[in-house]
Order: sequence, then structure tokens, then C-alpha cells
Amino acid sequence: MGDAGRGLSRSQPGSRATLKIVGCRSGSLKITELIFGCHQLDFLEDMGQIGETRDLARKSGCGCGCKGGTKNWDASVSSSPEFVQELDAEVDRLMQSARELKSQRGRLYYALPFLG
Amino acid sequence: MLYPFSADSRQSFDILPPRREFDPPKTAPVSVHLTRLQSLVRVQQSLFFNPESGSFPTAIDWTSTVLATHLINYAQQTGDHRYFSHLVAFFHNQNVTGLIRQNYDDQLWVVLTFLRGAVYAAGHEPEWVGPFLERAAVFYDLASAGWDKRTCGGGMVWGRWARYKNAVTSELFVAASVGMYEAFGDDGMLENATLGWVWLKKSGMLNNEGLFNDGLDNECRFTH
Repeated sequence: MGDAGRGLSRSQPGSRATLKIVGCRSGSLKITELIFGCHQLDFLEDMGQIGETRDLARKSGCGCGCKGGTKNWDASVSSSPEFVQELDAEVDRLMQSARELKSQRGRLYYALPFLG
Repeated sequence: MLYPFSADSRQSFDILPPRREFDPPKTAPVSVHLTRLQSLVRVQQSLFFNPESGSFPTAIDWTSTVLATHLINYAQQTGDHRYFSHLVAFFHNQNVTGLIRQNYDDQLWVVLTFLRGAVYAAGHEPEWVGPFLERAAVFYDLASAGWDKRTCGGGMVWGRWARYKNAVTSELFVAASVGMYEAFGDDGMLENATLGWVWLKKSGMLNNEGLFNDGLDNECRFTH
């Protein structure tokens, strides 16, 4: 199974809700600093240019203590078709297990009764 | 309305609360920890929450919703129902229009707040299950747009304007998807959770201590 149609289709905006993200088309709002968790990120963004693929987030070092192995940090994660196929196969396997579990034991978790 | 909520169905909402148990150090009895917890929540709600504005004035949107989640967990754990009106005030006054424009992790924190809120309401104030679940569903739908297959085989980008794959956002997406599946029974949500978890495990961000190193840039390299 390819990644097209994988997962999110039934839960993406627009599929069952009418809400859609509306981008800012104009304006001059400047966000100079945004604190997210323990990472401080510096932004200087013209909202009128948002929508381009530029990556404006610049991480400013390891503010959280950086526990754990760091050997991977120079590595590059695969995004090859083989990697995607590997993901799909694993998801299919787990979903199949979930379906079997559901058929054997009824509801997997605690679904709302009115959803049937 | 996004989902076919009805007054009758809310009465039978049956998500069970997490089976968390206190495991305090043996040097102090549980009652001491409970008293401390009650004091902390009292301080949080008397000094840092404004019932009139329904907000935590010194907090930003995502930390506010996390504080609300703490409040719900406290109420669930202790049975102390006195702050439910604060939760309702928070619900009515949450900065929804602002959060819609914020990053996906901010939105997913909102999902977790109101999934927990719905569970608690089901046992105490069932008329609030529907509104809380609807808030969760709106923000889940918004945040789901953050799953990005264009690079690294998947993962959640931090926000619409920050394209790197963020570990916390991806983790939140898994947790929110599981919770949404538990609430709504939509297999697509379970698949989202499964895909998110499988991708996280294979992303390389999981280190040998079981912790996630954040995150991946546009070329799928670690950003630290």
C-alpha cells in the first residue's frame, strides 16, 4: 500500500468538518520571539509572506538538558520509498491486529455507544 | 455540530479514567501528599486563575490549557468538584480564534484538555460531554493537517510556518489520536495513532534511554 490515503484522510480538516485553516494574506505582524516549551525560537516573519516553504524556525541549542544518546543527531533519517513501504507494512500489521482483537473481544476501547 | 451528539447519548458516555495511582515515597503518608496537592490547586485557582475572565492571565494559550488539564486530573483523582465552574469558564473564554492560528502542538494540548474534560464531565456534569468533545474534535481536525508526508516519510511539523518535524508535536498527535479513537471509535483515528507511533519509533529520534531527541529538519537531519 502506498502512502497515498494512509491514515489521515478521514480526519483531515474538511473531511467531516467545515472548518478550514485560513492563511493570512496580508499584514505586517512581527513575531520576534516565541517561547515554546523549553526551546527558545527566534522568529522574524512577515505574515504577508507566510505560505512559502521557508523554514524560519531556528533552534537555539539544547535548553532541556539533552539527556540521552546524541549519536543520532548527525544522522539523516531515510525518507526513501523503501522507508515509506516499511512504515505502511508495520501500520497494516498493527491495524490488522487491532481488527482481529476487536472482532474477538468486541469494542477495543470505550467507543461512544451511539456511534455503533 | 460536528458529531451527532444527543442528550441521551451523553448520559452513557463510558470512557474510563486512566488507572493512575498515587505512589508517594513511604516517608510521608498519602494524606500529606493529598493535602499538598489540594494546596497547590488552591493556589493555582485562587492566585493564577481569574473566574471572571475565565483565564489564567499570566499564562499563554497552550500553558493555560495544560493548567486546565491539571485541574481536571486533580478533580478526577480526588473527586473534588468545586472547580468545575472554573473549567466551564475556561471553556467559554478559551482563546479559540487565536489557537486556530497557532502551532499544531498548541492545538493538540487543547484536544487533550477537553478529552480529559469529557471523561470527567461524563461522571459529574454529563451535559458538558458534548461541548467538550466538540472542542476536542475541532482542534484535532485542525492539527491533523500537520502530518506531513513530503519529507522524512511522515511526522508532524511543528506549525504551518515551521516545517521541521517536531518530536513533541508528533507525540501529542499519537496521544490525541488514541484519545479521539477512544471517544469516537473512528478507525481513521486509530490508524493515525498507529502511523504516528510507528513513524516516531523509526524516525531515529528515539534514543537509547527511551527519550525522544527533538527534531528533524527539512532534510530529515537532527536539528541539534
